[in-house]
Amino acid sequence: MTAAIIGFIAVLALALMRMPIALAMGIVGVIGYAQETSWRAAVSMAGRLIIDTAQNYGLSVIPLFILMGLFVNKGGLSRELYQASYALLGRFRGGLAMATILACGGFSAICGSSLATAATMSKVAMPQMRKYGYSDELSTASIAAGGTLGILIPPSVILIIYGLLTETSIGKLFMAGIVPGLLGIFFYLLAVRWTVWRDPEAGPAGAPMSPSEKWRALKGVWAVVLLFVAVIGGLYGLFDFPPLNLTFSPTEAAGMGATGAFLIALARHGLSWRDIREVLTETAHTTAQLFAVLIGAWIFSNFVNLAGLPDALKAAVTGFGLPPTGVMMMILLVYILLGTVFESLSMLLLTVPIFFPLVTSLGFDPVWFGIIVVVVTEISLITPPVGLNVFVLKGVVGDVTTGTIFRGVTPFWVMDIVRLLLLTLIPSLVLFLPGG
Amino acid sequence: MTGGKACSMTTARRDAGSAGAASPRVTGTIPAGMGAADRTVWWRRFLHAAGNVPSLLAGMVLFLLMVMTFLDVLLRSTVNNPIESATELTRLALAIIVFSSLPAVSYKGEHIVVDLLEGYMGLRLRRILDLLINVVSGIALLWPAARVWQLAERTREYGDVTEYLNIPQFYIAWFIAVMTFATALAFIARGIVLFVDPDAIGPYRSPDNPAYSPPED
Repeated sequence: MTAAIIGFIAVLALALMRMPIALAMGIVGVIGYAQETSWRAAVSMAGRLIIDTAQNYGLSVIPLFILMGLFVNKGGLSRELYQASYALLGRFRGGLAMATILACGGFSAICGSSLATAATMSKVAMPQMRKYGYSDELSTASIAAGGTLGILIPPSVILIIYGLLTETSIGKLFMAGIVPGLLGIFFYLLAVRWTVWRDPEAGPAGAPMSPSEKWRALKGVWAVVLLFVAVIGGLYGLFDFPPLNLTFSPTEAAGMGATGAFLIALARHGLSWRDIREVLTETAHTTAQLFAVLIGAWIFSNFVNLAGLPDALKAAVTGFGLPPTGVMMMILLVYILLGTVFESLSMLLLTVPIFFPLVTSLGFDPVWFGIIVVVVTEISLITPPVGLNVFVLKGVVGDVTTGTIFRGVTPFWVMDIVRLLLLTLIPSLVLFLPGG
Repeated sequence: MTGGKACSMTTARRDAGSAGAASPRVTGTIPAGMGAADRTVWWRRFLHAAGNVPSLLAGMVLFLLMVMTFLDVLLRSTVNNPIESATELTRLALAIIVFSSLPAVSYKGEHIVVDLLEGYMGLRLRRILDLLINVVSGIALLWPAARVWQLAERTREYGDVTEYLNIPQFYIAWFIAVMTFATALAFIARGIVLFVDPDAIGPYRSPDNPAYSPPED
């Protein structure tokens, strides 16, 4: 127990000194493991994990889903999605901000990362909202908040990694993410409405479109919508009927998705060799980066388990006699606090190995807990002082202060808390789709 | 902002890192051109090329993996004849993709890093820390790399092969060991290169990455 806590502090200290989080966890994990066993055993454990993780079939889903997102993006999806959302919502007051939320939701359906969703959408949506005189608060906040949906709406890199860490079905996690994701879009739309109700000047209505313009805008996204339905549907067994009899494993779904996205991008805009090379290299590098963190986290969690932290935590909770709901509330609080400081993936990797055994022993559903953790992580992305999405926006837009963005984000943040409470109190909202 | 054009965690994190530290405008006074890596020095060119060759390999294998997965599903559903060796080929491909990229990712500093204090550090402190942390990271990787090599040798003695294609297991284990060594060297090289010339690898103190400017209020 003490060893594990010292280990934690060591990881934090190394990480704050800018050591890659993968190595901070790996090095501390090996040293701690060696204290409990021997150096030989510890280095062997690390060596075996390196070999096995690199060849873990289940993990092959990661590069393929990243590849799908990058190919679709090369095909110009972000602009088309924004056009289509604008066609639906642009003529209302606050319509451009609502279109931004919707487009972010759509983009998340292909892309598994919140920061990337915010960075990409800000380039498309920000100039438009500026043009129509939207307030800086509302326009930046709608992108920062909308971007957080990236890690919840499938496919989601964070959910994949949660699934692999806890041996929870990735297919079920993806299904479970859909309703909370849609709820997120709905609540964010409410937040926009609330903002323009308070201050009509913040978000005037856009120019109405003619029916033919609308049709053209909506037509732009059909291929990608089809791709999403095919990939997620295949994963869920939507096509499992004769003569097709087609159910995808997560890896197969990702492979089909990547191929489909490649063909769409090729047909739409023509990919140059350079484009293809860029996409492939970037995917490989992102994959390597994620694998490094995974290996580090596994080494560290081996040490933490050996040091008996999860058991000690269980014993402590039983000793205090807290009801499960109380424990859950405390865990959520820890996440929100950690999330104000930590990057989402590192936070997940550090905490899940410790909390997961406790949570399941208290009788909570692993799929539900995964979704809740991701929703809390989303909230942390827009919570001061270190809301990463807010910083992304600040970086891309430049001439607004983080204070302005945080002010604008407040109604969205409140809506997030409402959604979190709703999902916590009514678990079936999460669980009825995956049927668990 | 150089990254962020695409959907990946790498670019996004780089955005977040540079954006999180301070406003680009604050440091706009830094002479232009300092951030651009000068590729004319021979050792920079060498290190750059050394990272690119394996990256190219990783890209090609990734594309083949994608096509193979597609064909596997297609053959299974149409003529009920899946590629039996798909699983083991996927494993091999994954190891090649990850471990070909790791040295370049490490040398270029694309790993996930907590940038929280970056904006509060002076340039000198940051350079010393970067030297220290990268060299320590590299040295720490030497032990697992050696262990992976030993495990590979053991696999060779046992004569383990893959299930369908009978590919000896030790080839891939060797590859992983060699690339882990390369990753260790890449970390050490990064630490030293950054200390000698902070702008050699990427924008270290250009307006794109104003990491050492004072934090905003």
